[in-house]
Amino acid sequence: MTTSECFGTRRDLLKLAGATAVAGAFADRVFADARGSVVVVGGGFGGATCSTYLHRLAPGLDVTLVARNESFVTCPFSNTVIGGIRELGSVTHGYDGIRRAGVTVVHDEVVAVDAENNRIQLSGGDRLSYDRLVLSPGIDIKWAAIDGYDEAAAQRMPHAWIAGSQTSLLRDQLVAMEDGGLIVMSAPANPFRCPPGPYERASLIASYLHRHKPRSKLLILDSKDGFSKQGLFREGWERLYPGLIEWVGFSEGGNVIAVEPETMTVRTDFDIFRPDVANIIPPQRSARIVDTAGLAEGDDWCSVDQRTFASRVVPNIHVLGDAIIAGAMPKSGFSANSQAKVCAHAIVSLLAGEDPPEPAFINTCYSLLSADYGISVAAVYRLDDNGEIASIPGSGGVSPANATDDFRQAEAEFAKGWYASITADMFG
Amino acid sequence: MPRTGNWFAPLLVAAAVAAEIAGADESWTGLLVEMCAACHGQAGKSPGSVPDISELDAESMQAFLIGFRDGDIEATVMDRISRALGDSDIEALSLKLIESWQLLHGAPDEENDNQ
Repeated sequence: MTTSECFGTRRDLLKLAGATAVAGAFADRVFADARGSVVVVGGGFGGATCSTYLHRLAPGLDVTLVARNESFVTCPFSNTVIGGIRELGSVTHGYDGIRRAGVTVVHDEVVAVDAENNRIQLSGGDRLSYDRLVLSPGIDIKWAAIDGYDEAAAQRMPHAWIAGSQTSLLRDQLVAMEDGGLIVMSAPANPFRCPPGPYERASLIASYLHRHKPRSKLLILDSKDGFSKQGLFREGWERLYPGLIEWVGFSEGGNVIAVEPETMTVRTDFDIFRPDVANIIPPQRSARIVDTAGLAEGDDWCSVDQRTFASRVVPNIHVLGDAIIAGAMPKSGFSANSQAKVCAHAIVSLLAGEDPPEPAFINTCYSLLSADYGISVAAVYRLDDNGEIASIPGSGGVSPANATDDFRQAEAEFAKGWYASITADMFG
Repeated sequence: MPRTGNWFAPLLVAAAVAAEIAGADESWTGLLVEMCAACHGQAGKSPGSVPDISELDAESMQAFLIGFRDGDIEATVMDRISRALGDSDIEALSLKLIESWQLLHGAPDEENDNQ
């Protein structure tokens, strides 16, 4: 007899489960006994999810989330704002739901991690002590990796790779641009936050131009010779916006080496461009807060035990999301959400003196090429024999090529559904 | 309201049941359960347009996953995801999904039964 024959309906299942719970067979389960103080730093996909799941798994834990701002603007779907499909408010989320769930939320900036004394220093002067610290701090821009690209330059040539005011700035520049203008976007070499992101953005900018400024042109200058979902993006550009987007790979001279914001000049190894709008997406690194505890060891990204997300360098600190190298997982909001759940399970197990469970991860990155044209890449992961996160052979991959309009429209709808679901998962 | 006081304890029952399924790697599907909410919403009910799977029973869930994996049911992304799963993974996952959702969000049926 199969299990499903035994317990075929949810009602039957529940009866079985409920009856055993009443009997108290598992009353001393580890999570109920987990005690201690966990501080989670970073109010984005990793931090919001981890704090919520920690509290849910172990209500006896004292969980504090430190988020810099009172609301969080998601990078996912911020390209729809740049393309004029959504307003910034629709990708902005507050923390009331997380508070209601029982997590203490503090809005402040962490200025230092004092790993020796298991505490963090906040800019307002307060210190928070922890038994376990979770850092999900995201990225910082590597200023001056492109000659001339500093914080001041980003006000003239926005990166818009950390969503918020930069997103609005780029949107405003596109709206102000005359029809017939040239937009230059630079895309960095791997690894970086959201591998398909530049190409989704190019698509949605093209969607705006196609509707409102059809004589304009978008040039992508790339520091690599291939990119995520490349075949699907190029197929879509040809179908939706023929001739509007030009992509120049590294080998063809796409590598941007310098900018001069005063003259709106962008230099590659071989050419000089003077666009009307420049969206410079520069090289990135883990947010600099990790340096105060030496977590990246002078590298750009942190190294962690991929079963627990415990730092390989500093005890009692877990790092997740865009700030780490996580085996085969890309730097995406979905990845951070997935890692945060695994990390929460690991921490409650460790605090209860148990072995952390076997991890499993999923990532699905949707990209919109217009409001009703979506594509995706998906993968399921677990640990390989070396303890590295690896994609399960035979699974995952990208949407089919040359799919019908209905298929692309369905994926666009599911992209919007995914956004609604994951933000509810994070923020309540 | 989530019944956080004891939801994990019955979850273990499902885990114990699943562990008895020949070949199932209970531990890996245990955490895989947590990943579904990112698209399908907590307890299988998305606030957006992703299909609502909150009303499925374990048998139907299993049939969908096998159908997606084997190409018998059309899908946009679930075909690619379910190809990561063996038969016993699907059986264990289906059981645990439904179990955990009911315990997370409460189950009117059970509360009525207890009254």
